[in-house]
Amino acid sequence: MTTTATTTRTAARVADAVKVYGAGDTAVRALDGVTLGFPAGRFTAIMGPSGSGKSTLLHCAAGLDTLTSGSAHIGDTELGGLDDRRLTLLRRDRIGFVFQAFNLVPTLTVAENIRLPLDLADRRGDPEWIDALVDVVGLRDRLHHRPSELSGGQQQRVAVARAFAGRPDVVFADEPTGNLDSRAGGEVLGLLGRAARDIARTVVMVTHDPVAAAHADEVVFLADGRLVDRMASPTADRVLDRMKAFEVPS
Amino acid sequence: MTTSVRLSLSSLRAHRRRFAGTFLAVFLGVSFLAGTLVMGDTLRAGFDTMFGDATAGTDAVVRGADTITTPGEGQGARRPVDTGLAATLARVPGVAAAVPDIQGAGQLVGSDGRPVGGQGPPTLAGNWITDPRLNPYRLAEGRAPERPGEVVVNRGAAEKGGLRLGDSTVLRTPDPVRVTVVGLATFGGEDGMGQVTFTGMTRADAEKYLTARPGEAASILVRAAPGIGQQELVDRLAPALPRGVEAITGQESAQENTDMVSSRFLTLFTTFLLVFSGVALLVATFSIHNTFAIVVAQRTRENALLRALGASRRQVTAATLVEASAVAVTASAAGLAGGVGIAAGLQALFPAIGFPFPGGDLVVTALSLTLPLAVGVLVCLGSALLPAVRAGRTAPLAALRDTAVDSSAASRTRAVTGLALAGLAVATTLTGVLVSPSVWLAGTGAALAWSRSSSSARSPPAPPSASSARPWTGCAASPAPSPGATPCAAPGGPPPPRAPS
Ligand SMILES: Nc1ncnc2c1ncn2[C@@H]1O[C@H](COP(=O)(O)OP(=O)(O)OP(=O)(O)O)[C@@H](O)[C@H]1O
Ligand SMILES: [Mg+2]
Repeated sequence: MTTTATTTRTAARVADAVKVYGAGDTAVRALDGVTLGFPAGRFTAIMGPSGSGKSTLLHCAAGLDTLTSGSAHIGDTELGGLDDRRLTLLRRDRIGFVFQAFNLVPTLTVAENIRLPLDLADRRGDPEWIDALVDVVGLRDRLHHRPSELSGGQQQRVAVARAFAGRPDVVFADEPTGNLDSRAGGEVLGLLGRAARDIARTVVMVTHDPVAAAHADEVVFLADGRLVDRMASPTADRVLDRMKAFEVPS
Repeated sequence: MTTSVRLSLSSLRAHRRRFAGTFLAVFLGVSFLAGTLVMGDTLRAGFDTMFGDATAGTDAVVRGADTITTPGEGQGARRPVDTGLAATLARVPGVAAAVPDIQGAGQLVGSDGRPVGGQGPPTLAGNWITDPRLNPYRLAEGRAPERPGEVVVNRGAAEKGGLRLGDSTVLRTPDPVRVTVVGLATFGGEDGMGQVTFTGMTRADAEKYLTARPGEAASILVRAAPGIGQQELVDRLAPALPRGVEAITGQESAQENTDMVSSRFLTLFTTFLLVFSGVALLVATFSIHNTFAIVVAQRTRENALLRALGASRRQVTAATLVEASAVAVTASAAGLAGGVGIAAGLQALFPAIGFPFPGGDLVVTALSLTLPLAVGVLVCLGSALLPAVRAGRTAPLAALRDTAVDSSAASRTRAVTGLALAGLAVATTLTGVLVSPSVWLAGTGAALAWSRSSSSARSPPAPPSASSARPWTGCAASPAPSPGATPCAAPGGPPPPRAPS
């Protein structure tokens, strides 16, 4: 089952990634030498027990945090060599995010939130693309509402639309459906999957939910900061079995 | 519209109430500052008019050329001139009248046996100048003093001492002199020159009781014949003057009086208001800093989210600063209106508390508007700068963590300091409002008297100590809202959770 992404171009990758939080006695090795590539145009799910380093991996791959050692690339750009300003620009122009919660600026409307990365860049973007996105996420009648006037699922859909608005190279999503019920979660997952397949975007998603992971093209498993397994064309049952497998020994 | 501006405007709209305290503090500071400036200009203009009116008939003033600087006096006193010089000058062609102006100290004893004016404003005495155009006082009732012991008293002093026409009393020069009130006088249309008491005696009495040696006058007031200008009159007088004596035009003299009042009374007056304005702005500084520190702390996740989505540090800092400037500009603009209101209120209040405010419209110059506006905006932006920079430094990861947001000891210290300062400001302001009328009165009296009697240097300005000694504590417990209280009350617990549904 441990196949590697063959010759396809990788949109993002980490090599020998080590992340240590704290120092001395309290040091935590959240990533312990992970080497992993995310193929362009594919939807990858990251799974693993709580505390296995999934979020850490996502943050470091996305330029939100820096590795203790090893390297992280977006396309051909090495993130370790960028200063804060360039890293900010890279996040703005080449990366999309969907967080588990608190995705939207509460004082801005839905439309403004979707356009936020473009506005920060002073870019007009592609109005037709954004228009289409609004329809894909089904928020046309909510454009002038504030986030507090939306349901949790609607808020996450806004976040998905925002993540794709600037046509980024990679969209990272950290438990985007963690706070949603299965129906709302299904909508968001469907969106992410369609974005990857239909419009050839690279999507990387952390999830605890085997059903969510089944939407992905491939699932990678982390445990104790290491990459322990990969599974192509996952189904919910097979993912569930695999999860149970590494909960038992530890 | 840039994203920073839009972000801050929408945030302002959403959090209007949070900025109420900041708004109030800036508003008060700017109000006091603008009010002080407008009031100062208005008073200066008013005094100009008052002295101009009172001495309108005086075309030239002849006086000692040199000032003798005595220790403790800001500006020197002048050597007296010989009263006999008046007769010489009266014969100079172009002179219609020349009279000596003899000045000294004289405290009236009221009908209750107590000195009129107490320890407060100066008590002056002088010769009643018989030429009505040269006399700054006007006879309102009765007649001018003719026989020894007869005096004219300004109406305000007479009322205060319970003295009526025909009453006999004692004038302390400081040696007691028995006098009879035969006339009541007004100054510049008012019952007196501020709270100064003035007793006008016959020239013989004045020479006898008020000066160290007979024949000494503070100055000689000269009126020109028709068709002779003030400068021309001064030129004609010059050859007739002995050494050490000079002549100046009546206008110059009035200007000097105004300047001296300005330098003493107005300085005192404006110092008071400026202190309030300073305290208010100091409170504003803390309040703004505190408010924005809290706003920034509460918005850590929002700012972190912006940073994660690609907002540069500068964009996040700018958004906070734009917010601060919006508060600053609206509060300062409102403060300007408030300042003009304060000045108008004081103008209305002065007559009510017995201080004859020199009449005239409010004088609002461009400086009295631009300076407070600039100060308000700068104070606001200056104190928001640090929190704004801190906002820009927010790490993007803070958006993803659910950890409680800053309510550090530092911000609590700030809150306590802010609260203490706000209390102090309220106490100061209230105390100021309560004591200031009497301080102003005492101060005015001192300045006015000083300016008039600078030549004889006999009546030292009364210190405004009696009133400023009043305790501050009386107001500390006042329930009045303190400008810094709103933001100070806010810190403490973590912000409300924002998790959706
Ligand atoms: N800022 C931090 N400081 C110290 N330790 C941290 C920090 N962030 C994460 N860790 C630790 O690093 C390890 C990996 O954390 P991470 O958040 O990546 O786990 P995760 O797989 O995302 O877990 P979960 O499924 O619960 O979200 C954990 O042991 C965690 O306690
Ligand atoms: Mg996690």
